Amino acid sequence: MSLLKLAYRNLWRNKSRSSITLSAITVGLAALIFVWGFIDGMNEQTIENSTTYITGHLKIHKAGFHDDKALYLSMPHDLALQQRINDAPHVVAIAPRVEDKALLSGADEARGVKVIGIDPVLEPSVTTIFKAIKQGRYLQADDGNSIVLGDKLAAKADLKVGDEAVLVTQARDGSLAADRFQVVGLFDSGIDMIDASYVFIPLSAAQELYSLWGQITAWTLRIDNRQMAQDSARQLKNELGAGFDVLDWKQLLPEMVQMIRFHELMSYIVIFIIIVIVAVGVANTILMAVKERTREFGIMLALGTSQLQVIQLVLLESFILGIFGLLLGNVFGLLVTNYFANAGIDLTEFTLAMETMPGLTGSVYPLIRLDRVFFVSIVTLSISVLPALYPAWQVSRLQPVEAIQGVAKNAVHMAWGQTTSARSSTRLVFWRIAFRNIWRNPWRSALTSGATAFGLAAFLFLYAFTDGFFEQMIDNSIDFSIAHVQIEPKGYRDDYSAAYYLSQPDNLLTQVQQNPGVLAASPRIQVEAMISSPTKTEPLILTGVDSDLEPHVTRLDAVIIEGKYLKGNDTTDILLGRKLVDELDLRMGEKIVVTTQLADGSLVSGAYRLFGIYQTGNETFDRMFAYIGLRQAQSLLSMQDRVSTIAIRLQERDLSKITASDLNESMSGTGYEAKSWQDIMPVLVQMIDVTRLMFFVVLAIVFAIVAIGVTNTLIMSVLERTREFGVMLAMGTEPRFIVRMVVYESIVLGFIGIALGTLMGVLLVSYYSEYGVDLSDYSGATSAIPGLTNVVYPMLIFANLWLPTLVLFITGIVAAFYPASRAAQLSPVTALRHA
Amino acid sequence: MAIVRTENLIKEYHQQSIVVAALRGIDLTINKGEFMALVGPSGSGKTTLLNLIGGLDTPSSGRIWIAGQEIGSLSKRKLSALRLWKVGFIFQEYNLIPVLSALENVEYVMLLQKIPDKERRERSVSVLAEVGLKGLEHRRPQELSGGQQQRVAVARAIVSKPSIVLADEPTANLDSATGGALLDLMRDLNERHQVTFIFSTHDAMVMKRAKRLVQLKDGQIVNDKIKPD
Ligand SMILES: Nc1ncnc2c1ncn2[C@@H]1O[C@H](COP(=O)(O)OP(=O)(O)OP(=O)(O)O)[C@@H](O)[C@H]1O
Ligand SMILES: [Mg+2]
Repeated sequence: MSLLKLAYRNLWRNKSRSSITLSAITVGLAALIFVWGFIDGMNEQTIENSTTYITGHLKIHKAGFHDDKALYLSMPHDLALQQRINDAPHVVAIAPRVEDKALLSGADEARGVKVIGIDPVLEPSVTTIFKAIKQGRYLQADDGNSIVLGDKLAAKADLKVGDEAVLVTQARDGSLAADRFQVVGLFDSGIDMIDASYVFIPLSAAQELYSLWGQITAWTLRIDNRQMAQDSARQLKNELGAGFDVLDWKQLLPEMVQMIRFHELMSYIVIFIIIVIVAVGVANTILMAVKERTREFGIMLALGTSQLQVIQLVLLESFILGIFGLLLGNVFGLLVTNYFANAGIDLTEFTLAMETMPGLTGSVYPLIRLDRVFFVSIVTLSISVLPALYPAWQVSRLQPVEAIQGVAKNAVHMAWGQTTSARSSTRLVFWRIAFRNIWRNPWRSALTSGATAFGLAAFLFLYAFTDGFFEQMIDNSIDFSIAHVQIEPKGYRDDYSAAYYLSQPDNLLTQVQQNPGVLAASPRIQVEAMISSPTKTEPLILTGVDSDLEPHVTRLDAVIIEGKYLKGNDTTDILLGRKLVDELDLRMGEKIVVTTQLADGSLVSGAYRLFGIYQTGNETFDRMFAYIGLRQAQSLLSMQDRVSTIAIRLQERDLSKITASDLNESMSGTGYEAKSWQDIMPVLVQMIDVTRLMFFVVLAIVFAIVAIGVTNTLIMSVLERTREFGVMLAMGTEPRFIVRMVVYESIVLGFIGIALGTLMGVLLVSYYSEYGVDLSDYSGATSAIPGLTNVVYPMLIFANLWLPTLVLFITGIVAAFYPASRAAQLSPVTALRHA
Repeated sequence: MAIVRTENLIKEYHQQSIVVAALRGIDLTINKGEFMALVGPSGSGKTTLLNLIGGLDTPSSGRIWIAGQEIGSLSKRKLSALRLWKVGFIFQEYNLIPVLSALENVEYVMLLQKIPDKERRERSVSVLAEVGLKGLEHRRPQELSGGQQQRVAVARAIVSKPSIVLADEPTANLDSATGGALLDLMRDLNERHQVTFIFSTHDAMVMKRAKRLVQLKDGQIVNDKIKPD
């Protein structure tokens, strides 16, 4: 009889053992395939959408434009050159563009937008935003001053198809330029970042608006293979010479590349965790399956089988199982992944959070990549064969007699519980048996609790990491910008405009300060505006603050890195963020112009002197805000003594909701409302939700694998002891006691695992909460997230952790019930006949 | 007084489509205090019969009374209780619980019976002494020889004073001296405490000492011989 046949029969002989091992391999592999597919799908979607809706695969600019984005770096619209580029290898299509920023105003308000002037005929062959038109139409060849914008932007600006919108901007020569456009279409790409910030106008209209007659700022290109973008860019660059820059999508969207790297890093961590847990589960099962058969191998050895043959047999068996597991795992994993790859995983509930990930729509479509599938298959196959080596080798070295007698060496002489306790009840004796059974096979127990411990530690760390991440976001957002609670006119939050105001703020201030939870309050003006240096214009939010009161509410004064915080409320000093200052290339004391809109829609400008530069470490904050004195803002906007909001600092962050509702009660009927930081930053709250959701997915997978691991271990150990249970039953032990005993074992194992896991997790977190986790390599990804800096300090928040830990513990216990009840349902006769 | 009575006991095993009749109509009465043995060739049904009497298995048809109670109608739980209080088992392979010491193995049954600590301890120690294992109370099964393990099994079977002890080839794995000593021990218990012993055996020594021999062949009683004292 060949070894192969023997191995095959052995597998069939013990069907439960084989199916347990098989299920461990299958579930592990399927989980790996799915998780990786999900992450790949998310990344792929981000790239594909971001490149095809707006950016294109390659862009050609006049040399220097990409770094500076100043309009004087435009280039002539050379049709012959355009044709030449179009004919270059790999280029599928080309379209000319004028791109810049502007303020868009509808009925009565202005907001910063990105303007793209396109050739309505050529553009659709490069980018696909035309496919996303939901109302009206895309731009046409003979369009004059027509505009197409995103539905989100239209809703905020209160614009409909047929309405008239005004674009205000700084032209090439530095003069203020404005023009009227008729809204002809609205698009809905599903990507909030696009739908809320881009407008498209005909190329000719853009050239007119920016005084760029005969000029363009870019050509955007589609090539035949996105993966080859870098090579294509280099080839074109060589052809075009030094006067031009050719950029591939990775250079154009560095934040996305970083974000993808960040996601990839996270996914590698998650996948690593799953691989380890799967490996331990599979190894454990195989280890036990071999150990259990020591006697059988002893007999084979006694009959003259060589050691090598025994090892071969064991390896062959696990190899056959591994192959079957591979097939099944691939089938399940691919079926599930494929199902969702078509159906998509709906995450629309979390759209605000997904907004922080450019290019993501409401649904994620997992992507099957054969190289990944191949990799995890190989890994799974190795972890299902390699662990068998050790016990096989061990068994093959035994003296046949030892093996047959069941290896007396294994008897662990235990001091623990040896001294018979003075009092013992029935329950105690089962505890004792459970404890000793765990010691009887220390390796198995160590692996089982080890898997639990590892899963838990990894989870604790990841959780602490995100908690640290969120705490930082919340605290920085509160400290540097939004405070704990703000009182504002209804409707203001949708539209930072001077048309919304609080009259008689002093009365409100006194009223607010009577609330016991309130530490300090400060009036503010906040409107959308544009800031212009001699060469460039950027949109931002202009904030007028009371220089005495504001530092008691937000702590921007603590992060001034150059110059000083505002002094007095009626100077022409302005405070800007580091990032914006760099972009506008400003120096201390230099003059800049801020343009905004009055309540009646007319434009005003004011000149200010750069007085201080702040740096919070977060790019959004360091670019999006400008601060001037409150009086100065009031006079610029003709608001007399009115203000936009009152920002409030509380004794404690957690009082925000209560205080807001208190204040709302006292202000009912005034048209004002108090908003907590949670109301003001729904993005943050949703991001927390979405991350929690991701964590539940990861947690569920980890728990499922741990549960399967624990179940396997216990099933094996129950199988191993079938006879023992038979004896116990024969002696009159009630089946429920046997259930208890097995459950006790899992309680002990679970307890050890959880204690160890918590310890490891806490140590890991303590270390990193001291030194921080440096994310500077991913600053592009972090900058999209309000309030986050480059170093995250993990933070264990007990309230968030006890539940998953408890669930893990209970999972282990519940998992024990199956083998336990199996043991209890044994017929004593069958059990006693068990070999 | 009949401690065990069976009536037309039939046990069939179904293996795939083949029906194996292990017992075909056993009528047997065993009185309190008997010291008897089931004999017969391998496969004749000895173990099957013992298992049925001990309530470990259920007959295909026929009835069994233990101490006047019909056990076919008992629930699993009641059967457990019956085994706990009335029946002691001794197996060919000793079958001790490996993680418990000799003393704990003996105590185990009394723990289930909820016998107070002190009494339990005293009785276990004295039974172990009775079977000649004084000083070895705290050893684990792996640390005892086969004969010693079987003594623990005997001690475990008799410590709770069952009415019947069922012993399936208890001496098969022992040398004749050890086996003989063990039989003396059981005989002594039988005489002093009126414990009923039912053996199944191929061992001539057991047959010689048994007071009654019931011979099975192909699942039927072919001979039932009570030896004169
Ligand atoms: N679980 C079972 N499944 C199928 N057949 C069985 C089973 N248990 C016993 N048998 C059959 O029932 C018959 C009686 O078996 P039993 O074990 O009672 O014999 P025995 O007299 O104890 O034999 P031995 O002296 O070898 O122990 C045999 O033919 C045996 O093959
Ligand atoms: Mg037998």
